Amino acid sequence: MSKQVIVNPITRLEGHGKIAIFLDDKGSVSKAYFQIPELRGFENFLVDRQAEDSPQITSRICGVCPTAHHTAATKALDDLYKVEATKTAKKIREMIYCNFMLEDHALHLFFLGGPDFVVGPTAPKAERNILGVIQKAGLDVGKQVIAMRKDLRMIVQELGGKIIHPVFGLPGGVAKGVTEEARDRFAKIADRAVEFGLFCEKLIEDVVLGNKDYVNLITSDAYTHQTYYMGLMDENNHVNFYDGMIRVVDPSGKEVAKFKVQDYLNYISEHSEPWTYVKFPYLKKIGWHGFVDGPASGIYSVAPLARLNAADGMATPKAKKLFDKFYKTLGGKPVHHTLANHWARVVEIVYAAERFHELINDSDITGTDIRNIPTEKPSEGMGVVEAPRGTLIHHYNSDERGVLTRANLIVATQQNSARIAMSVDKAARASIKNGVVDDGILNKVEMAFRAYDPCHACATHSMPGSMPLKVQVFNKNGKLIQEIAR
Amino acid sequence: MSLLILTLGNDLLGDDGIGLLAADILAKENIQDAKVLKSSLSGLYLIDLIEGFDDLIIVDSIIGNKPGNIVQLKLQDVGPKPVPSAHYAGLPEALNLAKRAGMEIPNRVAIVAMQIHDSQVLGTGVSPKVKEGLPELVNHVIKIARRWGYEVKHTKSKKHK
Repeated sequence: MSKQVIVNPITRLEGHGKIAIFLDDKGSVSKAYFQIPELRGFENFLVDRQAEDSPQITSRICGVCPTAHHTAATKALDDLYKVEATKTAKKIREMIYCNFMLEDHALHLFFLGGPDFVVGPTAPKAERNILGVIQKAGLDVGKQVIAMRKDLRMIVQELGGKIIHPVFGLPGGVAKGVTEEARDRFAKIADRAVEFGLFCEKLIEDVVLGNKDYVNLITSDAYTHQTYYMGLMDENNHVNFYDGMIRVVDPSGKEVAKFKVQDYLNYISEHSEPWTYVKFPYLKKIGWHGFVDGPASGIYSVAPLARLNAADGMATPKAKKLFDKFYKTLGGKPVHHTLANHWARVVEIVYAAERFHELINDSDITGTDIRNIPTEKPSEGMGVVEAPRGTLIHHYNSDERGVLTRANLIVATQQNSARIAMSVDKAARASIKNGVVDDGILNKVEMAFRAYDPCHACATHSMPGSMPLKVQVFNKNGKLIQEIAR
Repeated sequence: MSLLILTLGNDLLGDDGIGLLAADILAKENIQDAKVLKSSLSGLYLIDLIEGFDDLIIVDSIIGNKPGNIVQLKLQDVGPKPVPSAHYAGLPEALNLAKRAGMEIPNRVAIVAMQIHDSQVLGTGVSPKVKEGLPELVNHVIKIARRWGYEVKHTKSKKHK
């Protein structure tokens, strides 16, 4: 009979950025849990407020991706009021959204150049050399990113207003159109964006695709999980960040589901665990069978890698070429290696730049019909976008006046939390024997973390500016015996 | 010489919004060659805002035991630390990265923070104890600006020395 770990209700984990590891009586890892923050606060906060305010309110959930929430909220409002956005409005929204994805991905690629992308002090020389290359590459990207970001940001500011919480999404359309003059300016920026995309493409080829040692590092077992993958696809099953059908593939890459966001409750269920308030999404038809890999487990993940795995290709030519090279190098599709997420981002950068270029040069973009005024009584609406870190769903219920009675937000990090928990568990097991915690545990756990870039609801700014990761180790009686943080 | 006064906060998280309230007052003070900016962005996005300024004063909240109390910090006091992902990067990490990338970041950086008890309570509006500290927070910023050589004319607040 297996040993039971009884978690005292008082020790139910709260707060964010915590990893809790429970030991058995031999001092080995019984279970490891990754604690993510709950959004319930914001969901409750939205109740009794005007639905039309939600794009501005929800953009405050995360200080790193406000545009993702703003856009998901806007689309949920379209559905709530049963109004379709105009052709021009959809294109403007998608253009801004690609712009946002491009700059966010680029900024986080830049982050690789920081001192934090550590593989560990005991990493073999080859890995440390790779690290040096990545860091240098990251900084090179950084210089380019900085030059380009100002321009990209200016576009969003112009179309969304200069106030700190941009307003551009409205039910049925957008607040401001693109004039011919603005279009000409933006088009030049789009040209530069495509060049930047090519720069990133060269980067991935130099650092990843041509480097056997790095490929070995990425494809090592440590951060590999065979789960289902989910992403938003257009009618050709190509990745689209702004709109489409939600597509799910199994661990062998076969499509198992494709649905409109309005049907999500038929496909996604949430599983509770006694040690956390947060619920884990899983595929309803497969079922929840614990924190395990494989086609029999309903666990799925989202994120750049998941999107690429769920797609048959990319919608723009340069991105498509890179997509093919990416899979050829990493041993075919789907790729289960979490570390490949960093490089999947690059494929998406190239797509975002090309798509932005397509849209700004589309004659509809300067159209003056930018809004359909809603006429229907609101009741229920759902909106989906692909946030930088994965699929994001906003689901609202309202009364006839448009006052929200219920809000449910499913964010990317939540959908990845089961997979992250499994990675953390693996890392913990490798680092704890006979109750002794190896110094390298924090590095190992952070590597698992980093590729998903989980959001700890960084809506708060209070110093200390950064939230360090905390690892807590509990003995078999649930008593805290060790806390590790930087 | 150019000064950026960057106030950070989320006005939906109660006391976490104190920095943004300070911005409203500071924007009305006539500080020469200075720009007052409010932001709810976090992490690496802050790099964009600070580029090109000679000097930087950050106004923020800080978790502490004496809500309403003002704390002045140097950049060395708060980091940078290795962080587990880009989402966890705060201002010190952002500045450090920017420097390594060869960006022109401010030479002088001061952080003025108001102690608050909790940054996680959802709701608009700042608690009374914290609000009481607002004039002193503003004064603190103005004192630093003056010390650094920025002229402050026609101040609205009568408490400056």
